[in-house]
Amino acid sequence: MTDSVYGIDLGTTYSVIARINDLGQAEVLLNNESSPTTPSVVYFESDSNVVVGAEAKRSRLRDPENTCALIKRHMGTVHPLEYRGQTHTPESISALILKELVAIANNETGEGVRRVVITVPAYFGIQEREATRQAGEIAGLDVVGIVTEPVAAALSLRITGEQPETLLVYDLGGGTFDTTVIRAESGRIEVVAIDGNKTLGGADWDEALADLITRKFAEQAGLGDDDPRLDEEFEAELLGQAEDTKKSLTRKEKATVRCRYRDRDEQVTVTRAEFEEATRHLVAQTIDISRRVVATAQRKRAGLTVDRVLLVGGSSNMPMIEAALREELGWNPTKTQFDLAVAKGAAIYAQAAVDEVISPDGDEPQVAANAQEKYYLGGAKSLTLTNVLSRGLGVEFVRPENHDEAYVSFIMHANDPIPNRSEKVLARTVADGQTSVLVVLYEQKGEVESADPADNTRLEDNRLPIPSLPEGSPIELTLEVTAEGLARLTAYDPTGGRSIDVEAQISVMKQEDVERAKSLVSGISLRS
Amino acid sequence: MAFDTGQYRRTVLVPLSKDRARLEELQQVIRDLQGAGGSSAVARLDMAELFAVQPSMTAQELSAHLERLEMFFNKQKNLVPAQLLKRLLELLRKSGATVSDPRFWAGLAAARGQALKGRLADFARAIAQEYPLKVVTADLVAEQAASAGLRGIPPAELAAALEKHGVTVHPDFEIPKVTIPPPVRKVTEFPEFRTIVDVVLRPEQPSAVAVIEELSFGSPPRRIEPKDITAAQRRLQQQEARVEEKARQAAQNALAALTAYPSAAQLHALTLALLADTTQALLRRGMPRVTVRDELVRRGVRELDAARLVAKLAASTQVLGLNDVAERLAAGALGEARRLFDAIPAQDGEDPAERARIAASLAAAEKKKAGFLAQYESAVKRRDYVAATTALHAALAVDTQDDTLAERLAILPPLPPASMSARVDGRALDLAWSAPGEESVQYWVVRTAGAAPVNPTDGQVLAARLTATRYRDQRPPVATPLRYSVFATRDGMLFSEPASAAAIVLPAPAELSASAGATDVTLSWSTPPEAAQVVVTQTAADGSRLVHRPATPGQLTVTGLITGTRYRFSARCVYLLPGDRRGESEAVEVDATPRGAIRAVDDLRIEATEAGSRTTWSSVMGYSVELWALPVAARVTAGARVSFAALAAQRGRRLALRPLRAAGGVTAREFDPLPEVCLLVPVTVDGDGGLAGRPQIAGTVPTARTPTAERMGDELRISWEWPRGDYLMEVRWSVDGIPQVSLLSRADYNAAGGVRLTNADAVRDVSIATVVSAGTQKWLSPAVAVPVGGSAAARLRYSLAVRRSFRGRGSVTVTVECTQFRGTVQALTVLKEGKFPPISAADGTVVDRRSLDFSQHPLATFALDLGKVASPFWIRLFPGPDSGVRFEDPPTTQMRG
Repeated sequence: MTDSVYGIDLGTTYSVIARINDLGQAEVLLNNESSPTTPSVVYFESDSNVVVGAEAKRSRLRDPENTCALIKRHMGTVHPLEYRGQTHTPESISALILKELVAIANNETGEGVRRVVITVPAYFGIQEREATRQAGEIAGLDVVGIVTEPVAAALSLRITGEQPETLLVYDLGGGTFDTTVIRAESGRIEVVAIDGNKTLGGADWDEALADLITRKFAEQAGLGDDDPRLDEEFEAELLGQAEDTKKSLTRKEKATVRCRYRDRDEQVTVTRAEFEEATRHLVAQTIDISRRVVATAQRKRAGLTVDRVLLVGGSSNMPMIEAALREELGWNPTKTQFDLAVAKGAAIYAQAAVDEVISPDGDEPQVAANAQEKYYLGGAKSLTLTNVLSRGLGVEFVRPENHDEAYVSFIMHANDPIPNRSEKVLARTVADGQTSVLVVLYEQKGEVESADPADNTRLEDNRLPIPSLPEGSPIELTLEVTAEGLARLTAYDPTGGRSIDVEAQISVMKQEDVERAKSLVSGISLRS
Repeated sequence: MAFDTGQYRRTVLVPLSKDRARLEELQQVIRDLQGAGGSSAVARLDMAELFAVQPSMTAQELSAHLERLEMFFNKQKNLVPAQLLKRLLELLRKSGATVSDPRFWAGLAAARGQALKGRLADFARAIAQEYPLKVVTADLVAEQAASAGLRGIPPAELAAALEKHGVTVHPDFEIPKVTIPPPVRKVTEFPEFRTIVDVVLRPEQPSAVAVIEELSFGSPPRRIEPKDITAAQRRLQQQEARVEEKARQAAQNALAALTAYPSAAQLHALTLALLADTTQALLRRGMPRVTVRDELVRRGVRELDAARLVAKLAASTQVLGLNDVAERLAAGALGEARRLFDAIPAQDGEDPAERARIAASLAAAEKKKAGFLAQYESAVKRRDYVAATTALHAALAVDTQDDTLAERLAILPPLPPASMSARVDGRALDLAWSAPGEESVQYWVVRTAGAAPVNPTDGQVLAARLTATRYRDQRPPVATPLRYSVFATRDGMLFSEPASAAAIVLPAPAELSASAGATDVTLSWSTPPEAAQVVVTQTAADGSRLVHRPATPGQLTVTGLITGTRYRFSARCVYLLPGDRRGESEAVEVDATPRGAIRAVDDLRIEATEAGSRTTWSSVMGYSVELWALPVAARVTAGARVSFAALAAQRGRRLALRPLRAAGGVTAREFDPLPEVCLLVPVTVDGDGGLAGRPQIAGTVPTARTPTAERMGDELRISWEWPRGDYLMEVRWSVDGIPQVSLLSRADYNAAGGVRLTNADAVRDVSIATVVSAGTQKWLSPAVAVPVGGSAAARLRYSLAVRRSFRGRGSVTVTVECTQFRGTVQALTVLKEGKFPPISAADGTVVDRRSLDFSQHPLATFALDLGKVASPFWIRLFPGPDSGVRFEDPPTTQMRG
C-alpha cells in the first residue's frame, strides 16, 4: 500500500484515470490498448466474467442484450438491470468500470493503490453523488473525495497567477452538460455559480446523428414507413457507427456510413452541415444554460465578467460548439485536453487531499510555513476550495387554511455557498393537541425551484414527538449543508426541549444493498 | 414458464411500435391515469397481453415476472412502447394498485370484458346504420372492430352482437372473370327474360334464385345444369308460337351460346358475372343501393344474394352523370355519349339548364356528323373519292367509335401520295413520297416516257404492293425524258389518282483521274455509251479557263502548264435528246499540279537565334516541306516514305514555321525555342505523308531543380527534383581534391533515396547535370551547383541501448563521447513514435534535457525511463540551441526501439 492516490473521471461514455507522478505532474495512465480513455461500457461475458472498455464496446454489436452503456445517466435512481441472470444496479455496473480502471493503473505503476477521488458533474444532486461514492465502495476502493468535473478541469490548468481570473467551464461530456463560473488564482478555487443538464451530452448528438442517418437510409433504400431501428442488428451497428461518424465530421466536411437492413445495403453520405442542422437545438440548449449561469453569477457578484472560457469534455471538440460560443456569446474559448483535463484535475485534488493541503470548505488549510510548494498546485503550498449547492433544499409545509395542500419552502437555494448553516426557520403546529410533527426534507429536482412537492425529490423524513400543544406552537428548523453537499435538518421543539435530525436519505441503495452488490461484484472477474 | 424477452419484444413491443393507433390509445390511458380517469382507464387496454401476464401466475411468479419485465424495459431505451409500459406500471404502483396480486389482473380482465361489452353494442349499432343492406363480410367486421379498438374479440361474438341489430356476416366472394357472349347479354334486353335463368327455365320464372354460392332455386334447392339448356332448346322449338319472334330468336341464340358451357359450375360463373354486370349498370345510374337490391329481387334473385352482390359492388362502382356525357362527347365518342345521356335519369339537385346544354351539344354533334355523311355520299356518286375520304375522316373525328364509318373508309381508295420527288444518282434514280394519315396502304410505281399513266398498268410497273414510301430505279433509260407515277391502294382493287414526277437521267463521266508531269497533266475517264461527247473545262489558279473537247475517248493530255501551279479539270458528258436537243450531265472534277520528281531534304541546317531557331534547306520544286519534332531516340530512315500518322505515333509533332527571306533555291524558316532536345525531321509532303529527309538533333536540355545536400551522420545525401522526361543525371564532386563522378537513372535515384556520399566533411564542389543521349551522341545541360554546409562543428559521438518491456514500457541508456573539447554540452534526448526518426528536436517529444560535463571525463552515460511507448519508436540526441556542437548519430538500428 502506498501513499499514492488516483483521480478518476468516471464519464458517461469514456472514463480516464490519472495520478501525480514523481515530477509532480498530473499524468494520465494508459490502458492495455495504450489509450488514455477507456469506454464506459461493460460486457457481461458470463455470470462471473465481464469485459470493460473498447472490447466491450465491440461486443455491443454482436450481443447488445448483454452489454451495458451510458449507465451514468441512471446513477442515483432505481434502475435495475438483469445480465446473465443477475440483477445489477447503476452503482454495481459503475463499480465494475472503476475496478477495471484501477486494476490497469496498478498494473502500469506496479503499485496496489486503492485510494481514489472520483469526479461527478457539478449538476449532480446529493443522491447521485452518494451513488458515485457507493460505486467506489462496491468496487472495494477507498473514496477519499468526490469533486465536481468543472472544478477538476480548472485545477488541471495549474493556474499560477496571483491575480484571480474568472473562468467559465463549458463541460460537454458524453452524457451530461455542466457550466460553472469559477474564480481562480494560485492555490484557490471558488465556485460562483453552476448550472447544467444531467441528461444532455454527446450521446444525444450520437442519437440525433443516428436518426439523421436512418432517415436518409430509409429514403435512399425506399423503405417507406418501415423503421429499420426496430431491428436489433441494425440498431447496434448504427449506434456503433454514429459515434465514429460524429468524430469523423469533426475533421472532415462529410462522411459515409454503410447501412444494412434486410436485403438493402446502402452507403449513406452525411455532411457536417446536415449534422449541425440536426443538432442545432442541442447546441442552443447549452448556449441558454451558459447564459443562465453567467446571469446567476453576475447576480451574486455584481460587475463580474468572464475572463476565460474553457472547453472540457470530448464532445466540446465538435466545431459547432466553438462556433456557437463565438457567434452567440462572443466568447473565444480556450481548448483544454478535452477528454483528459478532468481526470488530471481529479488527480491533483486527490493528491492534495492525501497530502492534507486542501481545504474544501473555503478556510485556509493548516500547512507548515516551510512546507514545500506543490508543482501540481501551480507552485502553491495548499489549495482552498469553495463550492456551491447544486440544488435547492427545502421542507414540506401545509397551508393553515387548507391542511391538505402541502408545499415545499426552500431554506437553501441552488448556488448558495457551502458549507453553510441556515438561519433558524420558525414553523408552527397546525392543530390543537398535535403530538408529533412530520419533518420532510426535499431536494429541488427541476432546473428551477417549484413549491409543488411532486416536482421535488423527497430525501428523508422523520417524526418529532411533541407534548400536546395548541395550534400555532413554534418548531425551530435549522438546515446545515457540508462541503460535500450532505444535508442535515434539525427540528427543535422549544417547549418540550426535544429535537430530531433529518439527514438526507442520500442514496437509493441501503447499506445492505451495498453489501450485496459488493459481494456480487467481487465474484466477477475482469478479463483484460 | 421462463419469460422469453426476445419473443416478447417481437410479438408485443415491435408490433406496438408500428401501430400508431394503439400507441395513441396507450398514451391516452397514461394521461387518463394521471388525471381524473384513475385506474379505471386501463380497462380499455388488454393489459395481460401488454405485460405478458398469464392468468395462472401466482403472486410470487407475478412479482418476479414484473421485476424482470421492468429490467427488460430498462434495457430497451430506444423502444417507445417499452418506456410507455414502464411508465404505466410505475403509475399503477403509485396509485396503490397491487400489481403483484393475481386478483388485480383478474379484475382488469373482467373490467375490460365489461367495457368491451358496452363498446360492442355501440359498434353493432353503428355497423347497422352504416350498412343499410345489413350484410357485411367477416374481414370487414374485423377491420372495423380493430379501428374501433375492439381487438381480440372472437368473430363469433362480433357476429352475435351484429345479429342483434339485424346485420348478418357472410364470407366474401369473387365475381368470376368470364367473357359474356353477346347473345347471352342481348337476350335480357327482352321483357320476357329477366335473367338468363328465365331463358333456361322458360316458361317458369322462379323467384329467390340463389346465385352466389351456387345457381339454384326452390326448396329443396334445384341446381341449374347443362341438361336444362338442352331441354330449354327443345321447349323453344316446340313452343315457337308462344314467344314473340325476335325474343324467340334471341333466346335461341343465347341457348346456343350456352351450350359452350358444359358444366354447372361454368353456367353458375356466367350467370353470376352477368348479374354483376347488371348490378353495376344499375348502380352507375345513381340508384340507391337498397333500390338496386330490390330491383334484383324483382328479377328473381334471392334477397340475401342480391344484398351481398350490391354491397360488394357498391364500393367499386362509380355513378355516372352528365359530366361523363360531356367527357365522352369531347373525346369523340358520340354514340356512347348519346346512349349514356338517354340512360341517365334526372338526379336530385341537378341543374336543368346543364341537362339542356348537354342535350344541345349532343344534337349539334349529331347534326355535324350527318352533314359530313351527306358530303360523303355525294362525293361517292361523283366518284370523287378524295372528297369522299375527306368527308368520312371528318365524320369519324366527330364520332370516333362509329364502326360503320370506319368500314366505309376501309373500302374507299386512299388519297394519292404527296410531295413526290425524283433524284438522279449516277445512272440510277431515287423516288420518294409521303402519305400523311394513311395506314394499311400499298403503292404501285409505274414508269412511262412522256405522259402520266391513267391506271397502274398503263406503263412499265416497276414495283407493286410496295409498303415503303421510296423506290430506286437502278437502270432507267438514259437520255430519255421519263415520268414516274405512284398509285396508292388499300385492297389492290381501287387505286388513288397517281402522284407523278418527271426526270431525265444523264450520267456523268466515271472514274475521272489525273496524273501530272512537270508541265503537263494527263486525264482519263470512262464515258457512258449513250454520251455523244465529253467536254473538259480547265480552270487555273487565277480563274482563267480553257475548254477541251477531246477527240480520243476517255483520255486527254494538257500541256504547257506551269510547274507547281494547281489546276482544276471538270468533265461533263453531252447527250443528244429527242427533238434535237442536247443535254449535259453533272460535272465531275479533279485537281492536278504539274511538278517535278519528289525528293527528300538532305541539307537541313538549324541555328539558334534570339527568337528561337532558324532553319534552311534547298527548296524542292513543286512540293512543300514540313519540319517534325520527334523524341531524340526516334527512328526515321532518311529517304524513306513516311506517313504523318506514323510520325504522330512516334510522339512526333509538326513545328509551326514562320517564313524568312532567303536566297533563290533555298527555303528559310524560323520556329520557337524547343523546350527539350528533339530529333528534327524534314518531310517533303506528298499526300498524307511524304519523303523523310536527313534529321538533325536540336533543342535544350532541362536542368535539375532545388538541389539539396543533407547530412545524415557521416553521409551527405544529395537530392533534387527531376526534370520531366527520360534522362540520366551526372553527379560530380571532389573528395580531398580528387574529382568523382556518378551517372544514375531515375530508378537508381529512387532505390537509393538520392545520392549518398560518404566522408561528408571532405566532400566539395558537388554539381548535377542532365544527360541526353541518342545512340553514341550525348548532350549535357549546364551543371547546377549543390550547396554543401560549411565546416563541421565539434563532433560528439553517442551510442544507445534502447529497450521496450513486454508491457510496452520503454527505456534507453545513452553513452556520449566527446574527444574534441572539454566543457559542458546541452543535450536533448528526443523520442518519436512512428516509422521515421525525428529530424529535429521539434519533430518529437523531448524526454530529457541535460547538461553533459566533459571537463573531467570524455564519456557521459545516463539512463531514461520513457514510459509506455508504441512500437516502433526512435531515440535521437540533438544539441541544445547555440551549443556549437554536433552529435554524430549511431547506426539506425541502435536508434530504433
